[in-house]
Amino acid sequence: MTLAAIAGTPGAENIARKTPARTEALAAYGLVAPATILLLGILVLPTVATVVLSFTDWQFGAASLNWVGADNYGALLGDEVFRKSLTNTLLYVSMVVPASVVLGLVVALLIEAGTGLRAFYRAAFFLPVTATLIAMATVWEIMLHPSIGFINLVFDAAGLGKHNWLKDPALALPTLAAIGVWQMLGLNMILFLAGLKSIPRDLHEAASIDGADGWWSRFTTVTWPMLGPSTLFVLIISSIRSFQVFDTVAVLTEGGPNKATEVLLYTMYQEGFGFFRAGYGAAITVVFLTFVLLLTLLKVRLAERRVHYS
Amino acid sequence: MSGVTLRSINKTFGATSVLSDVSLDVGEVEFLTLLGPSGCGKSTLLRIVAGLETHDSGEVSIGGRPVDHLRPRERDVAMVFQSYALYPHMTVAQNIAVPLTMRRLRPWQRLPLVGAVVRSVRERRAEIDADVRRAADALEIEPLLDRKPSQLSGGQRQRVALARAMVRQPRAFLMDEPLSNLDAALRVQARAEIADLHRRLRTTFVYVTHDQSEAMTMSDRIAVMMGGRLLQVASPGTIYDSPADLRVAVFIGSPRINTLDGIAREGGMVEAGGIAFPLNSGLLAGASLTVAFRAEHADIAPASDANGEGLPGEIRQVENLGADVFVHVACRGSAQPVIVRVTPDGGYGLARGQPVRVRPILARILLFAPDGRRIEARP
Ligand SMILES: Nc1ncnc2c1ncn2[C@@H]1O[C@H](COP(=O)(O)OP(=O)(O)OP(=O)(O)O)[C@@H](O)[C@H]1O
Ligand SMILES: [Mg+2]
Repeated sequence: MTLAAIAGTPGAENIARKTPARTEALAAYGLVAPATILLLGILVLPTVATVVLSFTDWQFGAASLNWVGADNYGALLGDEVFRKSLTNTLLYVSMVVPASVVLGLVVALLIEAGTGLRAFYRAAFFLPVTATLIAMATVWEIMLHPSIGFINLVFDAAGLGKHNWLKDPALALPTLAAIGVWQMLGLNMILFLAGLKSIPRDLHEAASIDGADGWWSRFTTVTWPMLGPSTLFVLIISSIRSFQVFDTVAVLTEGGPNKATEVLLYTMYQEGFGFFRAGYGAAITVVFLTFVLLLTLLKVRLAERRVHYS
Repeated sequence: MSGVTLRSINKTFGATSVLSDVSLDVGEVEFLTLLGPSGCGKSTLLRIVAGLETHDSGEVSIGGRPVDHLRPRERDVAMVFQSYALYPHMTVAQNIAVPLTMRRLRPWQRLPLVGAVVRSVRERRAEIDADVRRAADALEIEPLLDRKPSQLSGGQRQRVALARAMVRQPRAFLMDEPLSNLDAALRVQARAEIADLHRRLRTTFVYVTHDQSEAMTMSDRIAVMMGGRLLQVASPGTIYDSPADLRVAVFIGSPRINTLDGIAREGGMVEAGGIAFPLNSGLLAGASLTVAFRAEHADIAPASDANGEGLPGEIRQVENLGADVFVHVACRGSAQPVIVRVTPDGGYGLARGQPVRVRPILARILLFAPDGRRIEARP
């Protein structure tokens, strides 16, 4: 900010006459300053603070803290709840990502191939993306209710029996994953639709003249390869977003039954704001950030290497 | 047997009629060019032949066989798109191979690794490779076979598109402005190459362009289209010298053909630009018509010429192009200056503002009725 101020004041003009190169440099700093400051303030500082906190025993709200080195991380390794939470998160991601990507693609292809009601289908599938998940989670809670829920009524009518979706340790995480897919599907569909739209019509026509006119050969010759960049983007976005699963857990299961739906962000929240062990919570956050960072790096690397054709 | 036959093709997009009653016969080994201004329906017509667009009524046959109900692949045509439409994720060799793999291999045989396991598939793949090489060789793009389209220049992409079209020996080649993305020098070269390709392959070529020099230099016949109708289908020479319609006469040729408003007079005369020409239009005296002649079918005489022949006018501009000099003369009866081509020697001493007479060659004057139809003039 000070640099920007200097470059803008009348005094700066005097400098300008003496050393134009320096003034130019000052102006450059002045121009990048706002973005840099925002970036530092919003992203870098909190991250650094979190990393620093993860090496302390700070209690939320406490006036003092002690440096404990890597003790928090050591404790994580031995922590049953944390290990459960990490495997649950990975399981959740491995269920939600493939399902939401494949279904998103299928729905996008169907919408693109169909003629009528396109706008309606687009809106219907996109609705969960825009809706507040807390509110939607309540709706799901009613739908999944063991005795009066709509889903059990259907299962019962189909002869599949009633299930206690959110209270059965074997079913709770898959149920949350299904809600996650329902919520993510719309975004993936929109991204795939945009990808489909950007495929030049000429390519499809060339393919049909060249003999690729069945839907499968058309899909393998043109559509799928041309969707490469979209698919990569969708995969990474879905992974990052499903890593962030929190609201459904907080509203529907609170990590239960018996830690069956304990996930990283929920554990972090509990440690930091439930048990006020902010240092320990910060260490979990660092683990979480590492995964997200790895995914982002993967995306950058792949995007550079292969998936772009232009 | 014929190449491509169109019978009374009609096409509308919504309420706008794009093609009206188009009938056309393209010979088995003919190079036919569809020529017309932008938006006249050339691409639409070509896409109807390819099966990429459906026509509202009429009949398309290829090689003597009606194809209206057939899908593009079954019509056995190849198409070169203006954008070339190369598959960006495939190498040049893979691009050229697509029409062959799609036809010679079943879907399961196209899966990766099947070729390594199944002997018959391996053999068929080897045949395809050989054919791809042959096509690449014919177009001199063998060194490029392993590159991706994004690593090629415009001219190279165009050759790859041609190779992909010819690799399979289709019954007809359809080309939609394949040269319009090339620079001027390359376009002239590619023009010669496509004409040469046609001579070697001896099949039907239907070529779309709005560039008359392409049409004039490459085609056996030109079909001039305007507003969704065919105005004339004839050899380049006939189109130029004997246009059937005023719009054709005006569209073809540079500089533009000179046109004057005229009136039929008694005794086999036509009056235009203030003088009478001994041309028998066969029209009733007093009927209006258009008198037209090309820049090279007239000469310039001094205004003081004793026998007073020719259209009186005043020089507006002398355009010296080296080999030719175009003299623009403002004449009565013509909104635009009449343009006359003279040799550099003949142009010597001509200057702006000078009064002159323009003397068209009587035998080369063309007459057109008010509706644009050509009137055969008998001198
Ligand atoms: N899919 C479509 N829907 C509606 N109108 C169309 C469609 N395709 C073409 N047209 C219209 O049909 C007319 C003819 O189009 P076409 O592409 O055949 O012209 P063209 O002669 O190839 O022109 P150009 O030289 O610019 O390529 C144009 O007026 C165009 O706007
Ligand atoms: Mg066109």
